[in-house]
Amino acid sequence: MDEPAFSAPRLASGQTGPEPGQGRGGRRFSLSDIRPTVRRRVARASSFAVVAVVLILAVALADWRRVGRQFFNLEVLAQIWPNVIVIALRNTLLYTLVAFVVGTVFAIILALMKMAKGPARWFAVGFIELFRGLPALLTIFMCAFMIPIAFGYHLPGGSMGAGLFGLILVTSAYNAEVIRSGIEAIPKGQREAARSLGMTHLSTMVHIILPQGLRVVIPPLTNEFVMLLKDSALLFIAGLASTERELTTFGRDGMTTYASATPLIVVAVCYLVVTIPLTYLVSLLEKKMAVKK
Amino acid sequence: MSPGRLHPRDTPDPAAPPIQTIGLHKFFGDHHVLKGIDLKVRRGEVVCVIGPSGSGKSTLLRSVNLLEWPTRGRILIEGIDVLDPDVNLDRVRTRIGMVFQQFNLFPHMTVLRNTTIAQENVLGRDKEEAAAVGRSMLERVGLSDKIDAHPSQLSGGQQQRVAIARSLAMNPDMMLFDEPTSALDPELVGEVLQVMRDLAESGMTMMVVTHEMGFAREVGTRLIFMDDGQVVEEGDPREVLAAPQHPRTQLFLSKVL
Ligand SMILES: Nc1ncnc2c1ncn2[C@@H]1O[C@H](COP(=O)(O)OP(=O)(O)OP(=O)(O)O)[C@@H](O)[C@H]1O
Ligand SMILES: [Mg+2]
Repeated sequence: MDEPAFSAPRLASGQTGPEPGQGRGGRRFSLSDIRPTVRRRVARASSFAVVAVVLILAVALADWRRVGRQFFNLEVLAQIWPNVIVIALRNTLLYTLVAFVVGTVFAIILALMKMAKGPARWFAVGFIELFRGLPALLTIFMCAFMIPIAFGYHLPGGSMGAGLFGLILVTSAYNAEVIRSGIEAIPKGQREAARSLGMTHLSTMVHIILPQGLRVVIPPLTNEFVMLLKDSALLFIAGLASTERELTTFGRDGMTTYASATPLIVVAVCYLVVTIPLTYLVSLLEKKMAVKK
Repeated sequence: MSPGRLHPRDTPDPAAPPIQTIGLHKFFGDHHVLKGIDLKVRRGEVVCVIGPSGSGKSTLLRSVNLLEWPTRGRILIEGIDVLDPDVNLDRVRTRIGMVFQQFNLFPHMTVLRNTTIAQENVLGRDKEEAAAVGRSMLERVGLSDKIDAHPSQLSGGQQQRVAIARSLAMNPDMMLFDEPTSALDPELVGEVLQVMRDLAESGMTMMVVTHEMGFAREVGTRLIFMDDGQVVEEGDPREVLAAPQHPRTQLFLSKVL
């Protein structure tokens, strides 16, 4: 190892190179750096730079005693623990999963309807345009307050159930478009082969097209899942009972109850603990699929 | 085939020719691709179809099992008028095997599953029976050792043989081949042609669009030359290839032979 002295932190012995996506600092410039990954590296480097600048400004300008008391108050943390996990995080995950699973089932049906002809297609197009065109917040608000008034019917689960229903509508509209793109990516020879074996339109869809189409859209659907996880915060507008609160509602309530920003910091960390690994999973999956092709 | 025949419109007539087209026309928009095709394929015949690119060979073949819907004319499959809206097309298609230039195997399934899915789904065979039939068809095309592989792990020639086995597993009464060897590397063409030759010898009714003149000459019982949406010339393959009568056939053969 005859690197010049100024080449920053060295790799630990035994390591042949940095792990993908990290540990780039100690690496000397080499030709492989200007290969296709270079743009992604520049993008990542610039986002690190932004974080660094923000941190430096924060360090320089903040009143550290007040920040400590307000943002990282252990007494407040003790108060909200473990409810932030067993109620808030649990509910966020629960709402997200329910909305995602039910919404994706609806989305498959909508995608198939949109590819059909006649009234089914018109309905699907109208539905998708409507719920992609409206703010999710408004949809949830409308479901929670307009359905009971208009139909005299209360969805199970009260206003939480109604809000969740709104979230399902939004999810199904977005996922329908993702799934349709996956289905359309399957070569038409697949359909022709199945039909020429005598399979019906429906079983061709179920056994041949959908399994392949859904596989193609696993990365974008995971992305939608992350979006949905964040959008589940919008359920606060429906008005959640104390045990129904999800992370954002919980954090806001904690903030007013304890006059401290600590609950907000805690729930922010909770979101990131889930979203960041998922985002990495998406890029892993995308890479894996690109290799397969 | 008379309108007054006794059995229902859906029942195949063993005495009728497997494939018959009458005045078949196909338009893609304004593009007149088939211009009145009258064709009769008898049981056990191996009809080879040749002709220049764009002459409508694929369209004719795809019309026979209704992957393309003809604009005008009639198609009778074993005596059944398949354009009759009351006829169950899926049942008719089950009796017509089709092999594509691009194989079109199901990539998310194993080789064996490729051969069993439609047996279970369409013919209602149980798992064991379907697997037994699938295995014996794969043995017939010489791929017994590949049943658990996925299509992407096979060579083009092997994939095409699986595609043939997949069709055969449905016990079709006839087989359509659309340029089955055109996507293959030259050294893999032979193994697929050999399977087709065996199939022809077993008495299968076949309609084969091909550029393999050797196969047409040796295996074909009839050769059809198509040009510009019409059957220009047909006859015994040896005679047509050796002494084409029509100038357009002569021109085409002078280019390919
Ligand atoms: N789905 C379609 N839509 C529009 N035009 C089509 C379609 N399918 C085929 N055609 C046109 O019909 C004509 C005949 O096509 P066809 O595929 O039957 O020819 P072919 O004889 O099989 O040619 P090749 O030897 O190249 O396979 C071509 O001009 C083609 O462009
Ligand atoms: Mg063709």
